[in-house]
Amino acid sequence: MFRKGLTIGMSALLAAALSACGGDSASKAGEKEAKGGQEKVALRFSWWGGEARHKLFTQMIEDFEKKHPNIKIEQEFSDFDPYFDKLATQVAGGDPPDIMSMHLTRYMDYANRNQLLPLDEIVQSKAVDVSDWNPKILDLGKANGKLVMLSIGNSSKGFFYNADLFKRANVEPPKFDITWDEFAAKAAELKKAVGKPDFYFIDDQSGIMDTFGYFNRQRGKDNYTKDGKLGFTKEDMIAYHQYWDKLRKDGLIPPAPLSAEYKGKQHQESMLAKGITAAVFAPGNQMKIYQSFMKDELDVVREPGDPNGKSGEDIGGVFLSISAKSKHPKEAAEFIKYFLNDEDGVKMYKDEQGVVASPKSDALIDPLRVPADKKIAAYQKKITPYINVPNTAPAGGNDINKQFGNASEAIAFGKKTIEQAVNDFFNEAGKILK
Amino acid sequence: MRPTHFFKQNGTGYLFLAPWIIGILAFTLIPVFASLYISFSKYEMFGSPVWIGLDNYKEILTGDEQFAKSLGVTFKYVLLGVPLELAFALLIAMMLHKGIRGLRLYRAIYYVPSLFGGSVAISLLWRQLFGAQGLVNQFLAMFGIQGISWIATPETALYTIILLKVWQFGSPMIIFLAGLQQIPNDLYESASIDGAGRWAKFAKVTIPLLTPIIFFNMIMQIISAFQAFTPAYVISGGSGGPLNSTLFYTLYLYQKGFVSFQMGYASALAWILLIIIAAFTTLAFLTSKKWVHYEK
Amino acid sequence: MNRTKTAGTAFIRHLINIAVSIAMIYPLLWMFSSSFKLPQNIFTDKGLWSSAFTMDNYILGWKGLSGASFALFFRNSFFVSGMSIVGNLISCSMAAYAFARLSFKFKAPLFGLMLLTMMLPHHVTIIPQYVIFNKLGWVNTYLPLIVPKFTATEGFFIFLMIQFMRNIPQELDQAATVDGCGQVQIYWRLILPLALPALVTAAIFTFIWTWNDFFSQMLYLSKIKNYTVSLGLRTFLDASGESNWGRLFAMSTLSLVPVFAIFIFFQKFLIEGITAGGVKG
Repeated sequence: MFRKGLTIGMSALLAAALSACGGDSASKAGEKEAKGGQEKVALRFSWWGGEARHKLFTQMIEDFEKKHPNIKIEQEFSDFDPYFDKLATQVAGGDPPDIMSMHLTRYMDYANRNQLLPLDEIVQSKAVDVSDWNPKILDLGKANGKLVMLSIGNSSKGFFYNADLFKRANVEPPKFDITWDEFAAKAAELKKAVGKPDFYFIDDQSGIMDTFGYFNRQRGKDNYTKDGKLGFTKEDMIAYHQYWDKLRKDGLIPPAPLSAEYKGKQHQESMLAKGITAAVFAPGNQMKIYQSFMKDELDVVREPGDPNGKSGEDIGGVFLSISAKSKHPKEAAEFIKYFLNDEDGVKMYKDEQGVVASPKSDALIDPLRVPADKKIAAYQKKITPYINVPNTAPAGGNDINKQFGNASEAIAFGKKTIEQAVNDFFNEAGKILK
Repeated sequence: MRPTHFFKQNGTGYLFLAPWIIGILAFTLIPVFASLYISFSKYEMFGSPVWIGLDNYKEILTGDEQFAKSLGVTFKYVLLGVPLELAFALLIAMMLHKGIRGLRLYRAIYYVPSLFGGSVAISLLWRQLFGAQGLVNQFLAMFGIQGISWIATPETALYTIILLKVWQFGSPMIIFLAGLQQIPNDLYESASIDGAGRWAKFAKVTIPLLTPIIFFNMIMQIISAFQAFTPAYVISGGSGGPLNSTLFYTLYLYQKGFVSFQMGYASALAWILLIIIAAFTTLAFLTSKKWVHYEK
Repeated sequence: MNRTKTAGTAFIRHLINIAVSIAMIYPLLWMFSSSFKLPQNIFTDKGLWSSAFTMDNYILGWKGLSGASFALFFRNSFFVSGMSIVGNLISCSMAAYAFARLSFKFKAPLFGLMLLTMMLPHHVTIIPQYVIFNKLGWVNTYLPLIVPKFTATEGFFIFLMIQFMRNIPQELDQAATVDGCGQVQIYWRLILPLALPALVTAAIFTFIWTWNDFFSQMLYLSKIKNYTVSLGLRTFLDASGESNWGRLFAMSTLSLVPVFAIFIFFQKFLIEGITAGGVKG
């Protein structure tokens, strides 16, 4: 009796409080003014980043508002992790921003729960023109068959290496299409040439699910199946760990405590910048950042591949989506259009968060690029034919990533054998994905 | 009882309590009950919570290894960190209260770490200090000791965070100092007249009169240490690593709620923690009758 | 003999204090010296000293963003912290007075409720709370940060004041009642002055906690012109791009100045307040 009463009472309360929200966000954001018959619309645009990006977006918004006097854009921003904490709270609290920056690791949480506005019609009607895009890049923004976000910058991961260090050690730099075996051999060669015991080739990748995805796709598989189950077998994961474990035992990647110490440190403090390692796997747009903290010149080639297998590349990026609750989807689309189709907008934004998808825009940006940007834009163009669109991670994907990292740490610290760790991972994953 | 009579008896009390009652009703009770309801539901942040009864609790208590792991981490932190911090705070407070040249300078310096809070600078620095090449190991090297990476070794990482807590002993110290100030000087004078020595004064005057403050610091430290989040979050970058050795209970709860979007499960975790803290606090209150002295 | 002994212990006491002081203050020194370093040196220098020093971090950092300088952020932080102090002192001391010195029905369960509300991890109440403030239309204003302070939502301070008020001898109230004082006057003229150490402590803590608070300020303040210091500081961080550590440390150092000043200022009260009050127990 009590429980039933509580249920009814709380349901009513929560229904009012949690699910049916969103109604009044518009009235707040909307500050409607009749001005020459045109309605003044205020939109909230949220993104992650710091002061430098704020400066850029402020300029762009100024220009946009000049061209659209009836629209006013309010920015909301913070650093990556707090950004998503705030966004989750706002969306759950019924107060979502109209235009949200999105990331491939996070968007399914929102898309699966119908929080993102489908953009198919906007694209088909060419209200936002993406007709010259590589269709794979457009596909990245799809969830459950619907287009829910549009890329404003892409970057594939690359294998960045310290070119000057190779020169000094008199070692031939890696070639563009390097295999896993060649990669290990190169690592051994460089370590020997440098001749320091506390120098390593690259940071430990055995706990990075992204890199494992490359490995899986080269074997014709993927991290996940279409219906959201694990897309690889225990044997695949064991083979992957055996590869990295050998490198670890040969002293080519750092021992477990050193890896743990540097985990999550930023570019300035990374092993690469400090010269502890010679290479890193990272998204293309981060090369410039590493470079700014290093005297040595960086260069980039593909991540290692399987000579008899398929290509493993995927592509990351930053996306814009519109809230399903937005009262002004048309105006919001107008703002996205400014990013993608407006000449001034494109020229100002450039490669801020990765290389743009449209060749037309790319041609506009190219003359404005500094040498470091040119290098990475060229890499991105070279790599684009190889890219895949991986199956999207299911709900719980973040949990799986974490378990994958745990397995790697357990092996590296010698707490579990590879087989034990892989078995435990499959058990945990089974629980998460049930 | 007629209402007028009730108010005559209790009116003044409720008058002084009015702001608090308004706050409870307006800002506290609804979120608290909402989280209780959500803890019995499957609630993935967006959309409505779906009632699933005790399922969340069952899963936590029967099949969740990380729950056990994180509870263990938090218990270690509370049981080691709280007594150490309080003992240190009391010791230094007594020393400063005794009167020492440069008292204000010392007091200000000792309070500095507490001003930092969970600042980014501290997390960076702590990882540097206790890293393989850090200042701590450079110091140890002077004695020929080869140090490990304290922050990145699963067996030692938690202790660096406990040390961080002890290092920030300034807050309880200030409260102890305030409490020591409140002890009337006459009591010491009359104790001196009775021929009490320093130890006797300490045992018969200082400690008994300070017990309400000791009790307060103890309760508050227990409540807040069980909920410790920031130190683990900033130092492990939110991961709780290495090998989950710094996976604090609230960090796990946060990951479940805000990273995996299982807010129902996270709420159940929260209510289990509340029961644990309440048990500890009740125990402390029950024993307090024996050792805490209030003015009659 | 006795004199040399006390001089000896004083010397040892100073030695201990100096040793502890250095351990305590090293991080501050590190941050201070880093705030004058070039960006590329901050993480490569082994100790406090660097090959080159610069004022740029302060000059450029102070500019803030979008024409909103740190002068504005400081003003906003002072406003929020100041209002929080006023709110906490009034409302918490009232509640504490009721719990410590008055008797009324349901006192024990209400006290228990107060403690209980402090035991629930706040992560699970963030969203329902956001819903409330959103319904009230308070998002993007200072109200969610300030109004709750006026309703004694911080049990820590209530409990702190209770403990101090309970230590004030009961005979004092009785004497005051005989003199014809009502409860309000006893609270205002007798208890508050005697509980001054607790009030000062509460003021110090409220200031520091509000000043350093990041999460709720980030959640409820989005407009740059409303930004506080702690929000301004975080704009130097960008995990997806380039963080500006030098400026972060420079402005962090400045942001410690008021906190430290408040502490020095109030600690004077903490020592002299009671004797100045003239009432002794």
